[in-house]
Amino acid sequence: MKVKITLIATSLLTSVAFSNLVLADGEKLFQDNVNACWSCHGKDAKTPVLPIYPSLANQKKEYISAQMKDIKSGKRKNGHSVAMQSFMGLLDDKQIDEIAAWIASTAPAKTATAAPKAKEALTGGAKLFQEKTCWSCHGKDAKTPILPIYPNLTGLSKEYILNQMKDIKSGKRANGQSAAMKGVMGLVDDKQIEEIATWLATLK
Amino acid sequence: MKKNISIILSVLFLLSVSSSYADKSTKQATDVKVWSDTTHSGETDKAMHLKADKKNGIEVYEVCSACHLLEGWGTVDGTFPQLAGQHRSVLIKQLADIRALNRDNPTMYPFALPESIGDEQAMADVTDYIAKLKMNPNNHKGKWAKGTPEFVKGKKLYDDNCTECHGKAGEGDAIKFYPKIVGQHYSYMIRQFEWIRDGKRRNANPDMVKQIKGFSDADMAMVINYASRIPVPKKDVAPVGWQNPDYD
Repeated sequence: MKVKITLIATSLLTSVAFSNLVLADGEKLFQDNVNACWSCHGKDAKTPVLPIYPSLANQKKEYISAQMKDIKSGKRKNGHSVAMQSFMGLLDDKQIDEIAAWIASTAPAKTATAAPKAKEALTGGAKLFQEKTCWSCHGKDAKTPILPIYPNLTGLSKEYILNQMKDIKSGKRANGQSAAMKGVMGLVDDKQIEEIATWLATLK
Repeated sequence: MKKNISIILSVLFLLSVSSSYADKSTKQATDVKVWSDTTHSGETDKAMHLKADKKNGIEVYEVCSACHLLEGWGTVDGTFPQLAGQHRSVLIKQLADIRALNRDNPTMYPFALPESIGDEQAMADVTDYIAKLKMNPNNHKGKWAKGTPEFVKGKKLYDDNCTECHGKAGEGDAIKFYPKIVGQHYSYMIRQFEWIRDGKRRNANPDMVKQIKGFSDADMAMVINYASRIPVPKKDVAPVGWQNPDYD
């Protein structure tokens, strides 16, 4: 019994020591207590503590890095990004890229996408997503954006998606290429925004 | 041989963990005698009675300082309040309320969680450290200087409605969890006042909600203008340009 406990304790100790050795810089920066990224986004970058905060895990490093830099410079200031801006002051561009690279590396392996349904078979948010041209940038499946600086929309909460759509529509979020989306948002009303967000939130 | 070493190491490891935990839970403070029975959680009460460790307070506060600044002065645009000099009891209660979701503050919430800020001891350490910081000599003030009719009206509103709890000098009351408001930023107080009046700040004292129910936006601006202009006592205020020497 004693030996068994010792073995367990020892293996715990060695595994901690081992994983410390192989922790990438980006992961360390993300998970340390000074930069505190994990306080909102979760240690694995995909379990945010509140649904209004995004999971980051499905995004490309280009998108993540661009958002971090925009929040740092104040170009993106919607929602609660003002708190993140305070922490971004602690990071330089190289560290930002390291964090973005680590987050992107944790993305789950790509699964085969089911063949898209015929347009006529779609309903609700899925239908609107096609009709209102959302897919032109974000991809028909909402997870194959045409450029790496555009976000993947899967794995996000309804609250987060809803807030971003509304903020881009009202101009509260105006960073990056969102001016293009602002035009498109003129095509949807609040009820339709809600429908699209509800549907997107079902995509993992 | 190898096995023996690992046994020793493991035992040492387990012992150190359990003994430091025991130390923390048995310490009692002597500086506080009476606390309200109406705290929201047992942890609040516990944190108040623990003896604070300054070194750990400095360490814990580093994360807070990203928003509230190393000096604890907050930001003059009111996005982040000044914390320096605030009563420890008030800081602990607000932290506990935010993490128990009794006060909606999504920006602060993640940092109030035990995973981030730590246990009751860490809460005791950091709040003691903050409470002892000298205050901002240049808090954000409302636009009406002493002698203007708005200042005078604001003072009257303050004297009639606020002094019973927050005090003539805005000093609050540590025993009753009433915050110190002297030296707080105008724009921060406006936001909180409005949220309290309109029922958005859920952990507000119900007496205050009742007291300010009839305040118009204009009344609010005048009374907060006055509160933001109450002079901070000399002994509590930092010199202009002071930088916190606990961080390099």
